[in-house]
Amino acid sequence: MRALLSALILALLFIQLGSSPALQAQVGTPRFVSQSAVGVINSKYPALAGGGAAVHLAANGDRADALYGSRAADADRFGTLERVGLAEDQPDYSTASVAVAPDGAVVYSWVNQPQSTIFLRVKTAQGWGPTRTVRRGENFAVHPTVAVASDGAITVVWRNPDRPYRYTRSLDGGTTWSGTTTLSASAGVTVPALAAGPNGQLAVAYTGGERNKLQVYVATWNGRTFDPPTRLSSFGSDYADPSASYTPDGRLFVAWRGITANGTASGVFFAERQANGAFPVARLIGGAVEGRVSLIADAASNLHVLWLASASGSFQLWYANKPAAGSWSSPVAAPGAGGVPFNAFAAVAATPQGAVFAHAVSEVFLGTTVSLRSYRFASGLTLASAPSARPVLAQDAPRARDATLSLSLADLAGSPSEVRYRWDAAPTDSDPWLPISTTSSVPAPPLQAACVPHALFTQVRGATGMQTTALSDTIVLDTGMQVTVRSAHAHAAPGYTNVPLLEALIEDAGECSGLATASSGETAAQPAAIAALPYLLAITLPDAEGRHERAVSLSDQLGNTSVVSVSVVYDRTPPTASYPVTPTILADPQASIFQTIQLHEARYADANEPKALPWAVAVAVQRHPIDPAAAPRTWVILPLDPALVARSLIGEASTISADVAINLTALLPPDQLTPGAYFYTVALVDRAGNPSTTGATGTFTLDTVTYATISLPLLRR
Amino acid sequence: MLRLLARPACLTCLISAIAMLLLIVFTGPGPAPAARAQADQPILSYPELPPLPLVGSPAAPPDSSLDAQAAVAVSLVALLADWQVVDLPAALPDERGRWVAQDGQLLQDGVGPTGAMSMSETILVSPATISDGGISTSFYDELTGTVGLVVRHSAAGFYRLRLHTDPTFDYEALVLEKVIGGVAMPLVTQAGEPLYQRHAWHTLSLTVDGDRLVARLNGTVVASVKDLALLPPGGAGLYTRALGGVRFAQVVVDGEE
Repeated sequence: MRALLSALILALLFIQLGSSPALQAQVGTPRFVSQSAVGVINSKYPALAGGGAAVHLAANGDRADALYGSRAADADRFGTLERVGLAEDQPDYSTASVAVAPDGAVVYSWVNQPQSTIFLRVKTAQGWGPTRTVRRGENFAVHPTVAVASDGAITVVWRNPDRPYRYTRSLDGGTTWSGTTTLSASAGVTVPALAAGPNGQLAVAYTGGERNKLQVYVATWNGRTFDPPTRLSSFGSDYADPSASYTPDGRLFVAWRGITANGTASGVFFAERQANGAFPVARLIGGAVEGRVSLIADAASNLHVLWLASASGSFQLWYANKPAAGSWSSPVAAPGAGGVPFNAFAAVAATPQGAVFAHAVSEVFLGTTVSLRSYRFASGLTLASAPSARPVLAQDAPRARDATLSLSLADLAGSPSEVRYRWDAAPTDSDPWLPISTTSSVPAPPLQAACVPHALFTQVRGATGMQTTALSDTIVLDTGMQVTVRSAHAHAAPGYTNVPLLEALIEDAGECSGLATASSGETAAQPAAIAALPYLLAITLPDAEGRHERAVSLSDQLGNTSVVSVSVVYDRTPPTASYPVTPTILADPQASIFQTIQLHEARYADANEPKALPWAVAVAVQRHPIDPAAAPRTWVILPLDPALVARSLIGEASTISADVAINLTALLPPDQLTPGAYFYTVALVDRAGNPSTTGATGTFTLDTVTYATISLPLLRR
Repeated sequence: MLRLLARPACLTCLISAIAMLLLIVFTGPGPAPAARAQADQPILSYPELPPLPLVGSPAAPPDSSLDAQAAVAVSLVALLADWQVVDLPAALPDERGRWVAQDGQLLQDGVGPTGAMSMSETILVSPATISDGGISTSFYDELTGTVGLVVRHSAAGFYRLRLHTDPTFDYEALVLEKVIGGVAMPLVTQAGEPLYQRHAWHTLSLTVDGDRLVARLNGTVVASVKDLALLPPGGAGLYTRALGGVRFAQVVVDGEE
């Protein structure tokens, strides 16, 4: 008797232990909340995924679009659906799939049959990324299904008619894809189901044929490929339409339906993988069931199952759940709302406060039209004690330049005790768990001079479980100056000047922290405070011709500094030039204010730079005759287009011919632009901006003054 | 050894075994252990539900639905072996309309080997070419809300009669239409209250008499129209959506050439 009592106490102790460590708390029984139209017609095989306190919908719409929508865990309607891409042609075969990555990104895949291509796009907090090609040239790929493993690997599975399922994987967020691999031995039937678990685990459940029976299989990823599938159903009857789900601690569940409407092979079945790889099967409920049985394990390892059944004589969506340490609830149904629902797909999401809701979406046939209907059930379960925290880097500074950054955790919930982190991706099991108390700072990723945004993803865990979705904080790392500095005199070629001044032009080259100060290395004055770029720093030079080099010291708002060497050639000596041939004038036929002065065989020599071409011409235009000896002249410097300059070098002098296009509106005030004679002087200019002491003169006459006409495009409504 | 294990001599062992059994029964968070095979009773059952509003049993059509004038009904074997499934739009080979025998009746059972529900239209067409004459049947709609018949089905087109119990876009209850190249031209349209109820047996016929098409529901003419550009003779067939909820019985074809 004593032994009996001891054994019973032992059993009761186990019972108690079995129900205590739950992350969940049962706060009520499951109940139906709402159902509503999604507002999409001619849509087939809708899909849902839960994540980030929301559910995400993928569906094709009206034979044209791959559509996406989301709604919060406690919301009843999807907002306006976004068009992610083209999903043309018969909607049965232009379907879409959606999954949520560990970092919260939404991964959306769809097939476009006319293009024979499976596509994929990823939506992050910054919006939708580019359209990626998963697979092109498949004969007739149908039902592509996507999943993202905890290590970030994306897998897409599909089938061709009467062919086995195939899959491909991407390890870089969908940019590149592996070759395709056959998954199943027999031809695939209906839509495959993928499930992602912790530690990179992945499972695919599907329907196939064997011994002239429809059977349900599951295959798990071993790190290199899928292991041979395990048949879950028995040959005594036909079974189909499975789904699979992992609990956070890696337990794998699969659920499916019997094809028959009556008898012991009818209804919903499910199985859990055991340590020895076996899947003992349980029958959840009997009777006629249509389409996919959706089984979802939530963050607290509670199981949620949704299915369509005609228990009432017409098909309704049914829901039951099983708390991690409890027993199955009685099923509840969405009341009939007209039409025939079918092809239901479900997902689970929890509010930030932890209330868990089961969502579903189905097709509904009414009259002659198929549309989408969504459903929501309250699970009666809560994840209120789920550990959660949000990282805050460098006191939430937008930028930093340190090799080590301070880290704090905000929005703490569920008493987390450990944290793991990774830069620019969600943590994996290769990242160690660290006591939160020791993580007040983290090493920055390898620093680069450029302004590079980096996101630190953290995940916490505690006695009550692990944070399911890693959260991140982004900071721009900047350890350099992103500006350029060059000598830029207003009326000289770059690097030249004809006044004793070095004008250092500081320009933005992606400076993210903002330039703070600039100074010349030789000046004792305080550095100039920079308000905006570009900035012109003037440095006085001695009045001595030749090359002058100066150091410009720069600093940005973050404390980065740099010293840039800038040089300039000071040349105040004008070149010599003579103009033996009178220039000719070409008028613009469209507008008389445009004239071209053609210099012919001008003799040009620059003692400081004998082989240099003239850099520009100096032009002056007046309405009265010009005295070549008169001074001062008001020159307008026009840089020459080297392509329009011809030169022959004779000794130290060059013979220059060039076309000089002038615009009279830039040379004379408007009241002087009248019909009559115009007098001009043209002089060649060296690189330092010095015009020759003599110039070529001439006249031209305008009968009328005409301006350019700009034709704007005609807008028509 | 077997004898030793079978003997109830070790009371402690027995008690421990009972305790372990209790442990397994009460603590297992997953499915039942392997011993509980899928043939066992299900874990859950549906709550008590109100009875179906059945007008007639789906088991068999009432005798009154038999057409005394009809010829011998087409056998189920012939319907399944000789008649051809035509899907609109065309479907993949493994997602075609599924027509099966069940309880001595012909059941439209969705599409593909799983009997998945689909809104696709599906027709089961006779191999015989029919000129004057047509097709009649009894039908029992458990679910779909759309049922009909087809005559003169050939490459040139066909005539289709469809009845609806749920509101269509134009609230049609009956449409008799001529379909050529996938384009339907209504000949007779009747909007308003549905002409039949789900969960009851009805008889339906569609015949061609000269240049006139006549549709009868439960013996009453519900559509009659002349078509001066009559389609050539062709097959006759049963029509519905591939949602898997319409039973047909007593299918009779007359007027074979």
